[in-house]
Amino acid sequence: MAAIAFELSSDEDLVAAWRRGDELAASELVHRHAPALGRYLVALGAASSDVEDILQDAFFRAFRRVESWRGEGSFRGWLFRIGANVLRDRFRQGKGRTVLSLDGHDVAHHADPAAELVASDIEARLSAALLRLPPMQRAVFLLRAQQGMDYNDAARAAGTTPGAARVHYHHAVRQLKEWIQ
Amino acid sequence: MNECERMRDAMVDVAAARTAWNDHDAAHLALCDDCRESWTVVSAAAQLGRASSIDGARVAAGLRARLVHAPLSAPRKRWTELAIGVAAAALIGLGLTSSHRATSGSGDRIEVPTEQATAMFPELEALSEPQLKVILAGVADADADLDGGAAIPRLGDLNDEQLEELILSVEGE
Repeated sequence: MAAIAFELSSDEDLVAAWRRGDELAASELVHRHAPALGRYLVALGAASSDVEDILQDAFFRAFRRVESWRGEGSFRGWLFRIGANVLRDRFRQGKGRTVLSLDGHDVAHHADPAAELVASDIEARLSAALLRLPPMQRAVFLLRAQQGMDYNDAARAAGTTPGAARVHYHHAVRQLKEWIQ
Repeated sequence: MNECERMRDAMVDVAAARTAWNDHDAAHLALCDDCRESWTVVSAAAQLGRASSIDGARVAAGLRARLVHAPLSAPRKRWTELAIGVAAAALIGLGLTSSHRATSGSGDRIEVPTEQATAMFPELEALSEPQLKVILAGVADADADLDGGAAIPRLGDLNDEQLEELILSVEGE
């Protein structure tokens, strides 16, 4: 019964339950957000083989600091920002296998050919093109197009303003069209 | 915003299956090469990684194991206690210094040798420069109060913001 109740609960309610010490609430938040966050992290450049470890780190960090989420934005946007920060920290520590910088340097290649084999041609080209985008454009584009976030959530998740997010998204679409055609 | 930009924004909701193209937008899409190319990009992005299999149960199990071995509240509590302890030590030191200044009848600053200072407050040695700056900022505020004839500072002279900044710097977040 508790599990069914949790499935119907909002993120806010689950976070409140977790703060009261309910571990099932934490598990539900993981089940709810891990797949989408994992897809986002892989598209940002994480190796598929590392993504579950990165997710664990991201959720661990999020639950440790959950008191700093005050509900002013969505839990999802806040969590995605933490996930991207964990990924960036891993690259800085040299734990990421993909040669990728989230700091505006550049990208050499995607190191996960197995994942690319199963992707369609257009998705493979898009994956490669994404890694050529400046980091903020890449993040905002993915938060919008892949994750379906509105500009407010995408901005919070990427650490920018909604207005700037809008500009990044449109620039990214224009640039990707050019590279993919 | 022109029509194509509006369409690019709308594509996100259509790609996420939250809505469908209305007749007007469908007609525009049929006639506009630019928008069709944009739609190719956005709709492909919406599918990116859908074939991947993230095992949420495994992530949750691993997370539970980590949480058991690293209780959530303990680190913050420990660092909070450390921060308050260090702040208290610094402020007590300031109080002693100020008392000495008052009894000596001189407004001149008393020079305390570095070795003596670190021996008095060994906790300070473990802190980085940014962490020390936060403490010094609190001490400086208290010092300003003293010069204005206020009472000897107490623990509460580090405000919430300064304490939070100190805690975060100690935790490295």
